[in-house]
Amino acid sequence: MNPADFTALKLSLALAAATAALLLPIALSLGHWLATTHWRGRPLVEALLILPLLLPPTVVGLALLIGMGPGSGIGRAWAALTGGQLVFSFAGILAASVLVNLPLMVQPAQRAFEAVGDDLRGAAASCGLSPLRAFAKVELPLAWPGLATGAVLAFAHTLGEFGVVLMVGGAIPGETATLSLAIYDRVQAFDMAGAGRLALLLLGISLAAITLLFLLGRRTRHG
Amino acid sequence: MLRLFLILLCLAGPAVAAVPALAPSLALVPVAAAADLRLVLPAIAREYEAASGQRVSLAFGSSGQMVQQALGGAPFQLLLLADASHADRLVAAVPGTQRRPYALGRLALVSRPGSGVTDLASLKAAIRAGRIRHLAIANPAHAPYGVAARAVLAKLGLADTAPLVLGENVAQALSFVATGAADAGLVALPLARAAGGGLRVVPVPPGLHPPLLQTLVLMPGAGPAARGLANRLTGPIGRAALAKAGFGLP
Repeated sequence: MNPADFTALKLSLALAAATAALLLPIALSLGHWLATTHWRGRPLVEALLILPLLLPPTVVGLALLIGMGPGSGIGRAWAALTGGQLVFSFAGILAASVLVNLPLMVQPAQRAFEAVGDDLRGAAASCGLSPLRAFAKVELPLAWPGLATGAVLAFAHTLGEFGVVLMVGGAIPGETATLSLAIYDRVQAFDMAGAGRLALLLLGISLAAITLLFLLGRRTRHG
Repeated sequence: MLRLFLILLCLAGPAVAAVPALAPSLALVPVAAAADLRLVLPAIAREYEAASGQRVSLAFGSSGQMVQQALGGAPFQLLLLADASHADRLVAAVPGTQRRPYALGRLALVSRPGSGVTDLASLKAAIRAGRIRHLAIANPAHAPYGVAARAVLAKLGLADTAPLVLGENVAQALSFVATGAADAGLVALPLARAAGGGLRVVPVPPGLHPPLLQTLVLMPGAGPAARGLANRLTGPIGRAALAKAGFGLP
């Protein structure tokens, strides 16, 4: 394994962890809102949240390439804030990754909060708990396994993410060249042995990381 | 739950029923072509079909990908590859193949109108001054045009300083510039000429990079249709069309 592969591996892990971390509060609030709202527009919001899974990475990638480009509103706002460019940067593929993984994390969170049930929420309220305290003391511990599952799904999916990163990344070492891109480049360059080694490495690390996440999720649930 | 399952079953039904309908398309002669032929080859193939009564189906991709697929048993009868090294690999692995060069690939510098890049000298100045945020090329790890682009940058003394973004193939590198995500790029001239969108296109002198000897490979099982298309491509009609599109001729 050469230093470039190591850089790619570190980048993939960082991207996966950052994606799951950023999505946690988003999934928490969106999932809770969807589980408890009686608004008539809810099915439309749910359908919109599935769109990133429905659209091919080519479509999402092209939309992001134009939407985050230096000439776009988002690109200009980002440049004004940070002085850098959003496309072809780590922040850019992170934004893409968060978008693509939104349904994988919101769906389990929503189902988990739905399973808590209005009865229990009502009981918590009649015990004098404020909505915020009821959320922290009653709902969150009960919904935690669903949230943890969502986080593991997003983490794992990001480790294996290929299409969108290929579309918007530009394969810059240490910035956007993830391990799955490195494997693809090896295959394209007829280095099957190298590709196989990297694939095994990705497999091993992902398996270990996800086992650890499941372990942590279980411990928090019981503890 | 049962209703959802029944709806899904109804949706799947027509798709399953449609599968046998795909079979006739297998009668087409499958041809794999490098991405730089995307704009010129369809017209050549259509004229060939009209003249010969044969039918061909064109699949475009990166040369490496197509050689991989051919080695893996893809039924291509004719492959049009963007350089000689990919043909070497295929010919070495498959006995009974035939090869011949059909064109010389040429690079072009493409730039956004506002980038201030009008030729290679201004590209060099802009990169030195940090005015170019991203320069798009195809991935030199496996794409022939990427290797050529890197050679040009090395000649300009920009091998280590150019802020490269890599497309998976030369068409994707061009799309990075066309969408405005990258300021400039070094891509295939035949693709760049047709990109439009107000991009500035400047041909790169072929002496600045090793020749991109575009090579066709006829597989052992190639029938008369594939051989006929290969002959048309290397004959006067094909050569004229390739030259017009921006290729050099061997």
